Amino acid sequence: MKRLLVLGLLVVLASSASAASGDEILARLDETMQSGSREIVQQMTLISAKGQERTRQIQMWSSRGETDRMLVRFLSPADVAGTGLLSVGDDMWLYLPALGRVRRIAGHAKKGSFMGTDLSYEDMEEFGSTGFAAGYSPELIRTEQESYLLRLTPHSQDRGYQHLKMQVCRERFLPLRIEYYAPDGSLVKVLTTMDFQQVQGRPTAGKLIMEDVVKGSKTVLEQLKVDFEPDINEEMFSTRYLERGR
Amino acid sequence: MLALSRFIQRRPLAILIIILSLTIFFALNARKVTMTTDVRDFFPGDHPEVKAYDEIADTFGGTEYIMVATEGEDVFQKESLELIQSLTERFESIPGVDRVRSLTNVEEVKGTAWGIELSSLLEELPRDEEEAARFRSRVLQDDFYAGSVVSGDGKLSLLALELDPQANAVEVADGVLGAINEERVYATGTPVLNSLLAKSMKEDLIRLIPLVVLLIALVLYLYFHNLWGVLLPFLTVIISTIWTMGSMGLSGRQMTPLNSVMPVILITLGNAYGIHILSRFYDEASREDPGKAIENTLVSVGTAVLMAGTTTIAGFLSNSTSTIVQMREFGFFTGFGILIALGISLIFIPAVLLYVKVPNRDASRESGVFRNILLRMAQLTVAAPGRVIIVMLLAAGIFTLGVPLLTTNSNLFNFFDHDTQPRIAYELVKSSFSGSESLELVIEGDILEPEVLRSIESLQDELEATGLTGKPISIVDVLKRVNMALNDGDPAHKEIPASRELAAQYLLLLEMSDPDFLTRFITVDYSQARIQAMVKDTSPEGLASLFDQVDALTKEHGGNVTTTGMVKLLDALAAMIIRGQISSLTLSLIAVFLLVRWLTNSWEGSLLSTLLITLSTAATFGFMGWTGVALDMVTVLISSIGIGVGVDYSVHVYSGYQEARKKGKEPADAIIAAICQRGKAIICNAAAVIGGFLIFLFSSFPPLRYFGSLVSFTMFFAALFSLTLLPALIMARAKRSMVG
Repeated sequence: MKRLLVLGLLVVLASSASAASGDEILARLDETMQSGSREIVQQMTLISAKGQERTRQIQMWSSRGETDRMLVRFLSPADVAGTGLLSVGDDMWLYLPALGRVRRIAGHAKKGSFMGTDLSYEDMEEFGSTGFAAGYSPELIRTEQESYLLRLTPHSQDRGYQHLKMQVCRERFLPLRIEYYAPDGSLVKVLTTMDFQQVQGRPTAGKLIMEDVVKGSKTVLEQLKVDFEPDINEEMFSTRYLERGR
Repeated sequence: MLALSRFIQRRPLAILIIILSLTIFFALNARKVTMTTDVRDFFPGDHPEVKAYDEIADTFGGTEYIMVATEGEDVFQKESLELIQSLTERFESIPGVDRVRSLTNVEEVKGTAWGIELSSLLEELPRDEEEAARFRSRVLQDDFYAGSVVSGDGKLSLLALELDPQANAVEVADGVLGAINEERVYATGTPVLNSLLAKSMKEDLIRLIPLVVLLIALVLYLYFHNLWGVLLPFLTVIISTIWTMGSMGLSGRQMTPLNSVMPVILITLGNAYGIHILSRFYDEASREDPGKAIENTLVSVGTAVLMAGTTTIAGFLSNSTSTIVQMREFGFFTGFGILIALGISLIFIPAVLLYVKVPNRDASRESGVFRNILLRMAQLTVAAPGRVIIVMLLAAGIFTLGVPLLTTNSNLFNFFDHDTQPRIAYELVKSSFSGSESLELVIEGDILEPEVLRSIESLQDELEATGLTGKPISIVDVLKRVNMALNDGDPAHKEIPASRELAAQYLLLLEMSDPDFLTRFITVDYSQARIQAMVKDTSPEGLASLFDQVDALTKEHGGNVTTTGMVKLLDALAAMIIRGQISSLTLSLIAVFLLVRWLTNSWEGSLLSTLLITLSTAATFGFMGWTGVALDMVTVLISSIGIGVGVDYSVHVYSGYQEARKKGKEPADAIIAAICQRGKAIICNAAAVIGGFLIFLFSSFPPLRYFGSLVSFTMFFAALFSLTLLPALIMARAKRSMVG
């Protein structure tokens, strides 16, 4: 009887402890991943369900502030090299070098795919600038030897997901795997991370794979260069700079 | 046969119990059988056309469509638009519907003052008349929409539902049909037709089978004049039908339009063996005790019945060489059913007869007009065999001349009469829009190169110029529209991007807006593009001419172009029908020849029987040629039925002749005896079979009607030839050998 009581007490303690730590884990995760500004060179490989591939390289500068700003420049393949995308808050502009003009893109494009990959802009932003704590309430489902398993419920229905299941590395506080569930509760996408490395003292994943379970397609993102203390000039986030091309 | 008779007499009760309990077992399994009408099920999985079709579906998404048309005075009216919007939403929620393209949700590449976006053509329903009018003129002036989501006169709108290639198209069609509860909304397309076909075919059979049963019962009663004479042949066919359906259920097979006629075939054909057994048994039982009567019956007609049965089974089994999966299954299971009917007739009926009190024979049966006619016929044949031969060959010859006129058709639309709902919808979509079936061309190459794009464009133009398809759509049209949109909507810029870079950057732009939008036009590695065109005329001639021209066009363009689409599958099916027909025909003739040779132990008998049935079959095909009835999935069955069943009559007459000769009769007398003895059972059976198949004339499906009259035609000729041409030939030969 006594033993049972102790066990019961432990369970209560454990559950109350974990309820508190869901938020903590997410906060630490955001802290690890967010940075004031960064520069990334990334190779994006899109693999269709049939196994056809398309590879593109982009260079991306981002800066956080009152409004988040981001500049993306395509490096390869040759036919899209120089294409640029500027995002300031909710506004987006595109520069097509072959057309020689900057065009504004509709606001709802943010809901769409990030550069034609299996990631949406919002998926992408959560990873870099906005973090997860701002948009989700976490719940610790269980603690494993090397990781925590969190269930994230979005604050807003606009996010388009019912919930996320995130496996967080206990050592580095980076997501190892995120499962995205549609409003009807079915699994739609799975993100896995790998090739962890230390960059400027911060742990970061060198490779991300997003799998669209429904379509069967896959996007592999490889970080060719990551810089958390880049030399960024605020002028870079202007349409004039965008129009300058490379 | 003697051994069989002894066995039956030793254990009649055990036989009855075993057969009845097996019947219950099969009946329980028969309930598992479901119905399929998917055209792809007709092909073996590794068929090249199916592979090409599946390949495209995998790469670009569905190529199978359900088309729903709404009709009204003006589809731009608020109510009409609301209806279209509501239908669009309803259809989108049906599992298995990948995409719906309608007036209210079709994507538009919008070039606005400040940029470009990919969005719905209609973002909000027009609030007033003026807005509706503006929307109307905007849509009708654009050839991208006029003729595709809305008819040129604005009276019809079209919703194109693209199906998930993995989904069961018939189930999706059921869902779509169930979601429509408004008037003047019509659904068509292969999946809808398949669904309706499955449903109405079932209803048709439920309606027709009782009629067949009634008619055959009547024939049997007229022949036997007693209840057991009706009941026993009937029990035979019912048991065999149950066993067959049960084994289909056990092996997980499905009913198809093809083998849905199987129950009727079993009911009409399966009773023949019982008729011959009973007919002889009554003869014998008037003289002997039941045990002895059964022994005599089985010894005298048992072999002939066995022979007739095995040739029929061989006829059906000959379909197992067909490349068409459903033909194989139909052949196999019908053969199996006949085998059961045969076994039941030889084992079950005698066992029952041991327990039945035999009524005294009706003396009037033996005399009468009928017998006199047969006798007269026999005498005529014996007296002037040459004349009979010439008359019969002439009749057969005239019909046979029609064989070269024979056509094939695998167009499902022909399964419906002109005034039926699916046909009306089909014609509506065909006349106001391009059509409901798509032709798919896949071009391989470095698609973004302006040169390749221009080649695709000219291929599209030439395809449209044939007049056989609607406006073809491809990535070229998308790029042209983006080019225009980014040049301030100036129609002068509705042209192919001048450079590879521009094309690549446009695609990048579109991908950012909606990556799925492009997947149906181009692969992610930009190595394959798809041209899609709706086919206007899906008749066999229309398709043949279309494929000829498409082949010529793609050859001209060089490069790597693959053609597919549901229409291509249907076309391939027609070719397979012909090829399958020739091989199963040859095979069944060889099988029948060998079987009859083995069973009658006579080259003369087997040669003559085979010759006769060849003539009847040729006459039937010729008849189809003359009357313009096409070979399709259902009418294609006639030859195997014709050969397997038709040969039975010759076999009976010949074995009657052999029996009489063995008793020492001269050829002329033996022929007369054979005709008189066997003639009545043959005519009774032919009447039952012909009557049974003629019931199909009441079917609501043209192919079933044709099928019924064609089988009747073959049976008529087979019976006629067996009672006239066969004896005449035997007589002519006997005369010659006497002279010689």
